Amino acid sequence: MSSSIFSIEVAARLDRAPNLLPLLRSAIVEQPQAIGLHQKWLLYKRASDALLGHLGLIERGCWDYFDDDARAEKDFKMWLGGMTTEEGARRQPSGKPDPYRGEPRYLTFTMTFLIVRPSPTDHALSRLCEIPEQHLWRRDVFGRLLGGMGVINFASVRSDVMYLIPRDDDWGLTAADLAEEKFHYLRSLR
Amino acid sequence: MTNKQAQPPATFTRQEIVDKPGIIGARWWQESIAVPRRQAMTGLLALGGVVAAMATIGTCAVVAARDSEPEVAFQPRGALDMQKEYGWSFGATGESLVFDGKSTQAFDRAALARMPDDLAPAEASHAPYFVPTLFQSPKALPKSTPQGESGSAPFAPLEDALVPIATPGMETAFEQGRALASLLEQDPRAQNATVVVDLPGPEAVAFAAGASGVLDPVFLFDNWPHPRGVVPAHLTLAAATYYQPLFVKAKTARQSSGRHARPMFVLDRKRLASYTDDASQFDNRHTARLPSAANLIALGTKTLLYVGPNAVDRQELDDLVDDFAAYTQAQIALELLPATAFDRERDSAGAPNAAGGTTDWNGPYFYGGSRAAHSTFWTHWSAPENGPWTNQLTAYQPTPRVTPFSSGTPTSSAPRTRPVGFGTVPVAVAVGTGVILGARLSRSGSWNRTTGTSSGS
Repeated sequence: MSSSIFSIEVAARLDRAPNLLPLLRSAIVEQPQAIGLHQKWLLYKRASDALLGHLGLIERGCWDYFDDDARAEKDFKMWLGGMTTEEGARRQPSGKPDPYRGEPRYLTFTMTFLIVRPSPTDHALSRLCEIPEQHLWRRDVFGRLLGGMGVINFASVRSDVMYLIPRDDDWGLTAADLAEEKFHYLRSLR
Repeated sequence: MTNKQAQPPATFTRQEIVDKPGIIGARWWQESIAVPRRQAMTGLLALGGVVAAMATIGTCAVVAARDSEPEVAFQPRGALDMQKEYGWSFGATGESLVFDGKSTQAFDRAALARMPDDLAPAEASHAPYFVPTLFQSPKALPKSTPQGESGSAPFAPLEDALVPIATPGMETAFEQGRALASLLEQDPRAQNATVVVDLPGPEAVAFAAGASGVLDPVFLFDNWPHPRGVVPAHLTLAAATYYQPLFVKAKTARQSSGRHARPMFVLDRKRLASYTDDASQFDNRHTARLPSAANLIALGTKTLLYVGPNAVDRQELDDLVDDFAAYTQAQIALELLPATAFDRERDSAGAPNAAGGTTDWNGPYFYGGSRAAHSTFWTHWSAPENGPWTNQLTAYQPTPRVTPFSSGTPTSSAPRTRPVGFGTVPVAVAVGTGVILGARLSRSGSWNRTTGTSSGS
């Protein structure tokens, strides 16, 4: 049994969308220790719909799809490391976002899936990710991917990771944070 | 009997969780289909090196194809060094340059090979300061190909992409340069003057062309064009291409006249352009390399005339702060001259008017915007004003300041301050061997993610 991987991460303006953070956070905290397939699908749908509803506030992003087994295993571990090492998270609060006069604040939201291949889900994701190279970093492409995540049948998902930076709104990322080398993989969207 | 619906079996179990103010997240695992990692790796080994089927789509293809290659890390390397080694379009082969204001005049492409010689100073004493870097780029060929770029578009020399340009801004700058030359040509006070032209590349070249009948241009363009360059050096080069025959003609005329021409150092004012995203831009910025105070004095300089774009943007850029402070300390007088101090004379209806006045110069551009005011250049030279009217020659006393490009103290020989990473490009390097695989900007974000962070693998 082989694997493929689909991952997507976005950076969105936290200060301009005060409702986005609690929505995304709920998609994580409402997933209990043990969870069924449909419940999982609903919570991912909640997260992707929330991001779609704020697509214009997504400024940077990155996504992957690989159907190579070794790459999938390796990259899943890497994406997971982004959470377990807490590499992107701030070490101290940045202050409450001020939508009128404050500095920009950002959140990042990451979803990663290790998928059974071959499977209908893998096939559907493969089709979803057929994006010409010159369009990879367009905002509407991210909209297509987020909107298409409903094709994921969690019966074909071996493992998944979902994480949000920050958890609390006074720990948002600043523009200076995002300018750091560790975030350069997040490309500016057109 | 019960009204409760049967709950579907929970198939995912949470394996890891992070819950802190700065981050929250979790990983879930479906045991029923999960393959133990050890088993999965054993299976891979059994493939005996056969690469499994890979996606051939979008962002993934570039990255997936690299699976058999070594682990990589990103390291900054000198942008110009990389271009000289791997070609001017390093990391963006196949991408095109955009030229505004293409000239329709006949163009001798073979003359591009002569640019470093044609545009070199005529005076031997000025030659050591000439920076031919930009003019060497059209004919330059890569010495090697990055090992990770085998699938990229074939290299095309810059000379094939280059076309001359002639824009209205260049035409204006050309006439402004001519007008300045008309003044410097006639007065003995100019014999101790050195001119520094610091305008956006194409206008700087045009101004120099206009003044080249009198002054000896010393170009200081220390970069190469790039399709994603922060500095639009290709436009500077295209302007130089347009004026190349004129520069040759002017140099020949100066040399045959036997007159010693004063130096005119020519800078691209966009050399420090702001730079934000090394994932999509190529940092071909550079700093000015003006002579030291001692060397300027050795060239006979008592006054340095600094030509900026206009009355507002007329002071030196940050990379010149220390130089200018050193010049002042060495008793070299500094005078600021906005290029817009030279304007076309117009009558009350706004039409060009070259009648009357007190100068032999026939324009069409005059200092102060009129024939009558043209000679007041020398009045301002002798008694420069420091008043609110700044669209004219003014004396200048630089204030030392600390910037990313200056130390705030006059220095004449110490290395110049530069921000970290200035003029560099991130490249993918094979860990272990150090072999350069390619430019980071030629890779998709997935490539960046895979190798550019310390998370995961």
